[in-house]
Parts: sequence; C-alpha cells; structure tokens
Amino acid sequence: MHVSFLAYRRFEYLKYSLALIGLSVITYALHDPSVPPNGGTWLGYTLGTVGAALIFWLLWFGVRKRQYHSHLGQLTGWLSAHVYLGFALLVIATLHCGFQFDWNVHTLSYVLMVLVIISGMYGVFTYAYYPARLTQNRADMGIRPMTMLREVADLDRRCLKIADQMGDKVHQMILRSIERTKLGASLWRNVLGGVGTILGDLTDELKSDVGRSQLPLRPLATPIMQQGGEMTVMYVANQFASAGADQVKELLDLINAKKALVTRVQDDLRYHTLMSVWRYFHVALSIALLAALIAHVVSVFFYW
Amino acid sequence: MRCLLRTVNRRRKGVVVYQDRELSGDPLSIGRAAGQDLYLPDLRVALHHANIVSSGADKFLIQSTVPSGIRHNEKTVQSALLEVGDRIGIGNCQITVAPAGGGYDLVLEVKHGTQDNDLERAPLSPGGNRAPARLSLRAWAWLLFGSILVLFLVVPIAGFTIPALGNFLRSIAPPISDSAWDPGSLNRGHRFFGDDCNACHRSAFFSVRNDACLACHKSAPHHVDIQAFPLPSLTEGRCASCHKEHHGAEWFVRQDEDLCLDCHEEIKSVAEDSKLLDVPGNIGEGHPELRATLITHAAGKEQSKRVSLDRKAELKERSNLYFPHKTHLDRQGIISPDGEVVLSCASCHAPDPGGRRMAPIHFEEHCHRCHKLTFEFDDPRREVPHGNAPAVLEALKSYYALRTLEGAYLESDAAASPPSRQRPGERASTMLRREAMDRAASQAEVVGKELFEYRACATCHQVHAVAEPFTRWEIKPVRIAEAWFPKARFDHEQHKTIACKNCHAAARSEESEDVLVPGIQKCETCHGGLGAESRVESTCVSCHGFHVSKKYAMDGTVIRATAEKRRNRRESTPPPRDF
Repeated sequence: MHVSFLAYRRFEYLKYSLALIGLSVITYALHDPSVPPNGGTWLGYTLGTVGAALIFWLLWFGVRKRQYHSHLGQLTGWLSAHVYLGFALLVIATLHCGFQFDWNVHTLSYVLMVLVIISGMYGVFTYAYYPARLTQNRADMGIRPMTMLREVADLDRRCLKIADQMGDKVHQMILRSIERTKLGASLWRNVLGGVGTILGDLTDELKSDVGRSQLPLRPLATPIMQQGGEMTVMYVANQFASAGADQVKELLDLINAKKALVTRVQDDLRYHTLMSVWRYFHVALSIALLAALIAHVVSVFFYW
Repeated sequence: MRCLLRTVNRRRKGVVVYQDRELSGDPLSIGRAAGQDLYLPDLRVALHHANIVSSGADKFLIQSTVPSGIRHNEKTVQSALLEVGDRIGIGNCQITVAPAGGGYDLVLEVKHGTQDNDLERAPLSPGGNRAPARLSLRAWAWLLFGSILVLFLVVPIAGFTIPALGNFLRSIAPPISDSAWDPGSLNRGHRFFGDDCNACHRSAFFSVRNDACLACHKSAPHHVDIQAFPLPSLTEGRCASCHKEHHGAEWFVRQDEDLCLDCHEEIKSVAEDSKLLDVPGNIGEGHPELRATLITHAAGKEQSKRVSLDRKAELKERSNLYFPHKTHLDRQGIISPDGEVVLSCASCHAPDPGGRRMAPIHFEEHCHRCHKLTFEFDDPRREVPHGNAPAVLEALKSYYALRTLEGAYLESDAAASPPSRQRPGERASTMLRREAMDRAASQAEVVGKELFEYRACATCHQVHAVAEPFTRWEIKPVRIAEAWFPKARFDHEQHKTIACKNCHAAARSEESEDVLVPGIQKCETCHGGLGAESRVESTCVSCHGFHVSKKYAMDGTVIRATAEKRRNRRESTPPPRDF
C-alpha cells in the first residue's frame, strides 16, 4: 500500500523532529548564559554545530536521491526525514543565534536558510495537493502528456482541413487561432494559468453568431483583422451563412473540443510547473546557503 | 529582385540534397495556392500567406498578408526586415536567409518539415512539464554560491591580508569588507574605532589578546596586588573573559555572579593571606554583612579599620566630636540666635557636585549660624577664630590687652583693683603697663578656660588641657571617615527618591560615635541578585569594582606615578574637613 512520505513509518521522523525541537527549546529556556544569548555560548556552539550538521545532511539529500542503487534506507524515508528535520532546523538555528539579527553575513545565512525552508514547505504543499488534481485533469487521457499534445495537433489539422474547404478567410482565421495558442510559453504563464484568449474569443463569437443566426455584435478587437477596411469576422460570419451547416457545426465542435483540451493541457502544465518551480528556489538557495554557511563559520573563527 | 531559392531535402541515411531555383519579380509571394512564387504545401499556410518586397538598396521586407502572421526568429510578427541568418517560419516550413552572392540579391534556404517534426513544432511544446529551459538551475545555484563566497569570505580575507585594501573596502563598500562579519554593534565606548576590526582582531583564527586592550587601557588598575596574590586567573586571564563585545551599546561586562564567586566564595582557598570575607552568594543569597571603614589612631598615626555593621560594640566612630543628631533634629525645633528653628537633614547635608556622595560639613557654613564663638558679653559681635586653638588664646590676649590699655573696666575685678586713669598724651609708666599686660593675660586665660572647657569649644570638641609650662588647650583632631564604604559604588543620586531616614536612623542617634548606615538587610529590601523577582536585579559589579588595585596596573606595572601624584596632592592641599 502506498504511504505518503509525510506518514512514513507512522510519522517516525516527525517524532524525532519534535523531540529535537523540544530538547532545544527546553535547554534554551533553562540556559542562563553570562552574556546575552548568542551563538558564542556553549549552547550557542552546540546548537550551531547541530544546525550546521543538519544543513550538510539535508543538502546530502540531493546526492542521495540520485544514488539509485544505494541501500542506505529508502528514499521515501530520506525524504520524510529531510522534510521534518528541515523544519526542526528552523527552530535550532533561531535558538542558535539567540534572536540576534543584524546586517551581516550571519543573518544572511539565517535568511537564506529560512527561505530554503519556506520554499521546501511550499514544495511539501504542492506534493500533497497537486498530484490528485493532476490525475483528475488527465482522466481518460492516459498519463503521458504527449497523448494530449498529439490530440491537440490532430484537432488542429482537422480544423484546418474543414476551414480550408470553407474558404481562404476562414482558413486564415483558424490558422491565426492555432498560431496564437501557446502552450507552456513562459514560466509566469504556466504558473498563473489561463488559455490563449483568442481561441476562447473566437469560439464565443462563432457560438453567438450561429446560435442567433445574426452578425456578431462586436468585432474581434484585433487591428490585424480589419485589414482592407473589411471586418473579418463579419466576413467569416457571412461565409458561415453560405457554407453548409454541417461544416459549421463540425468546425465548432472541433474548436470546442480543442478549447477544452487546451485548457486541460494548460492546467497540466501549470500543475507540473508549480510542482517543480519551487525547487528552483529551494535548490539554488540551498547552494547559496552552503556558501553563506561556510562564510559564516569561517568568519566567526577568523575573527575569533 | 533576383532571388535564389535553395530547397534542402533530407533523404534517408542523412544525405542532404539541395535544389536551387531562381526567382525574379517584386514582390515574391509565398503561399499554399497554385501560382505562388514560393509554394508551401502545408495546411498551416494560407493560400497567399506572405510577400517579400524590396525595401531600398539590398534590403528586403517580409510581410504577412494573413492575421496569423509569420515566425521571425521564433517570434510571431506581421512583417520583418530580413537580415542574413534570420529564420522565417511559416507552417512547418523553415526559411533561412543566407548571405547574398553569385549575382543574387537574396538567397533563401527552404526546409520543408516532415509529418513528425510538424507535431513537435509550436504551438505544441512537449517539454511543458519542465520549467522553462532558459533558467538553468545549476548555473543559477553556482552563481549564487560563488558570489556569496567571494563577496563575503574571499574579499574580506583579502582585505585582512592587505590592510590597504581592507581599509579601502571598509570606506567604499562596507558590505563586502569585514564589516559584513560584524556580529553585533559594539559597546558605546568602543564605537569610535568600531569600523576597524583589526584594532582588536589582530591575528586570524586567534581570539582577541590582552595586548589589543592594553594598547589603550594600559593604566587600568589591576584587581589586586599581584605580587602578593600572583594568581594565574588574574595574571594570565583574558580581558575578554569578563568583557564581552558585540552585544550592543549597553552591554560590555559579564554580569554573572559565578565569575566573582569562583574565587570569593572561599577566598582563602585561592589567597591564604586575604583579609576579605568569604561571600557565599550575592545580595539576598548570603552576602555577608557590610563592613564600615573607620579611622583609628594608633602608634601616633591614623589607620583605617573595617568593622562589620553587626558588631555594635566595636562599631564606634571615635571622631573626637560631640554631636547628637537627635538633639539637632528635634521636631519641636531648637533655639538659635534667630529664634526656634526646625532642622532637617538637608539643613546640613548636601550632595557633592557629582551627586554621588554627601559634601563635607564645614563649621562656618553649617554650624556657625547657631554656634557663635563669642566670649565677651558686652561685645557680642566679637568672636574667637575657629580651627586654630593657639590663635584663640592669642586673640583673647590681644583683645583684653587692648581693653585694659584703653582703660575700660574689667568687670570681673573692677572692685578689687580700681583702674588707673591717665590724662590723654601722658605715657603710662612701665609698672602700669606690666600690670595691664598681666591683667589681660590672666583675663584671657580665664575666658579661654571658659571657652575651651565649658562653653564654645567643648560643646562640640574633645579638649585636652596642657598645664605645663603654662596653661594651653588642644582640640583633639576630628577623625571622621570620608566615606564609610569607600570601595562601594553607592550613589546617593540614584537613591534620592528615598527619604534619608529610610536608611539613616539619625533622629534617634544620641551619640556622635553612632555609625548611621544601614546593614545589608536594608539593601536587600529593594535589591536582589540576578534573576531576582520583585527586586532590583543587582550583580556583584553593581556595587563592587574589579579594577581596584592601587598598586598595579593591568599590564603588571606599578602605578607609581599615580600614587606619588596623589600623595603630593594630599600634602599640598588643606584637609577637606575643617571643624
């Protein structure tokens, strides 16, 4: 049976993490240093050593997850420990510094560490939340994204074929909508979601046009389409009137099917992006943290 | 325009075949319809999709005639000026602009797409489930890693190795100098050189050494006489074991009691000859009773002695004065030349200019208003001088000699010896003058005796009469300790919101030998040790100093110069007390 990495071995690592946090907090509370609490007291050095060891171990996860033949524990277990002990690090490092913050390399390390942990926590959230939505979105499409993409290409081809039979202008319109439909164009578009609006606009126009057998009330607000003083949409609508009703219906069905499919592809891309984009921050910042940590430790002992 | 159209066909096994065709005319049309100059048989190409027109000398413009536009270098546009190397995409066809030559104005390479790569073309980007490829995770991570390591470690270390560079960096870019290592602001007193880390941190990977501190604090007194008590903890200790830096403006000295109690809890275990008491704990935790420093007189010289406040029998200040506080503080008032007055503490005691201690009492300022040194009933303005016993007799003699010579009656023996009267201008006889002098001397002695032994002087002072060779009186020297707790950091200014009587039981004191200071219990009503609740948190160093040796400085040298200076000053200036 599948067990989430969060619940691995009945939350074993959550318990270790809470124990570590509890021990640190209690020791900190009982600790009565002769100076304001800081990283230089015996507890400060102890927590600092534990924290640094944790950081190196947490970074090692990046190596361990690539060692496919390793028998050193299950990767699920490693991930579970990575998540829970990473969270404990937040408490340990805060107590290590004794809440002393300033504009220096030491606080830089702390801030980087906090950012890494926050991005990791967001990552845990995406891994817990999006897979279910992803599967739901891909229902009856199989699990391979290429299937969906082939389907879109196929719909495009069929649209163009019908449009070509309906005349050059309709073909141009459909061609335009196909060219303007971008999938996975930019990071932000993927993150924010949304389909190419032109496809949607066009479908709506056509729908209203055919449904009421009237000319569209408003033209598509794109200057390119008004070349030669002629309103393209009106022309297309007129073409619809003269073309066979079967062809119009078939084209509309195809466009609707494509619209639905593109929405699903976009969602698919968006979920995948959200599930992976946090790692850009998490991994890059953790490497930055490694540098800041080295600078922190060396500088402290350099000017002892 | 003459245009060479080179169609690139890929055959099986990777063989590439070129097909050249020459076109001429302006514009050149591109489309799926028959009769187009460049025929592209793809459904994603409109019948007439675009034109290439010449636009000035050797410049060509490609213009789309349909709303879907063309892809110019992977960007969808309506028209674009063609440059060598440009890639134009229409449908599944890729047109590359090659360098012109061979008599052609324009050379275009045309690649027709296959069914397979058609599928991979835009708008379908199968790599969509990866984050965009232009952000390379590794490059981004190593860039951050490298910059942080260089800016915050390599550059500051370089600044340490090359001091000129270090100073330069601190002045122009503190964040990438060793200032970025500064873990917290310095104590207020050290801020003036705070930018220069190397004022204290002189060698890499070594903790701050004492010589860095002694560079400025050479003359700071040591803790004890290090010859008598050469304890390693004192002679080899680090300044930085007590003085902690980088904890903010107010924080500098360790406050924990253990630091002091390590030795002082059982002082004999570290210094056998010490005269100090063991201190089981801080105030409220077993602090021993306070000991007042009193002046004693033995073997012809003044000495000081510390007497515990709970040893009442010994706790007497032999000041050689008579001064009952109780009488002076009578709430009904006391008789003064100006009538009855009610005195308070502040009538006589005022803080010194620093506010820390009380200023000394002076006869002229504080006593004289009531205690007049008059001696002649019918001459109440005439007084003997204060502070100089021989001068008193001299003054009396002079006064009575003058009176006698002026022919005034001396009341006391007016009946026994009638005065001799003389006419003005007539010189008195030798016998008469001697008689007058004798009379004045004896009168001075009578009055002097009265003043010294019964009235003015004896009111306050202990007087010692010396009969031989002729009668004279000596006032015993006043011995009041300048401060009963000379080493304590007690500050009256900080306690001024509390009434004097809360600590000083003066209103009940009938003897001048009473030492009117409260014991440690009184302190403990308000003060407690570190972490004490509902008490003022006070540590050892709140009241006691560490650097208190009068003999040795922190660098181990003898504070000779200072001691000599102090001695000279004492000899050259009159004593502060002048009773």
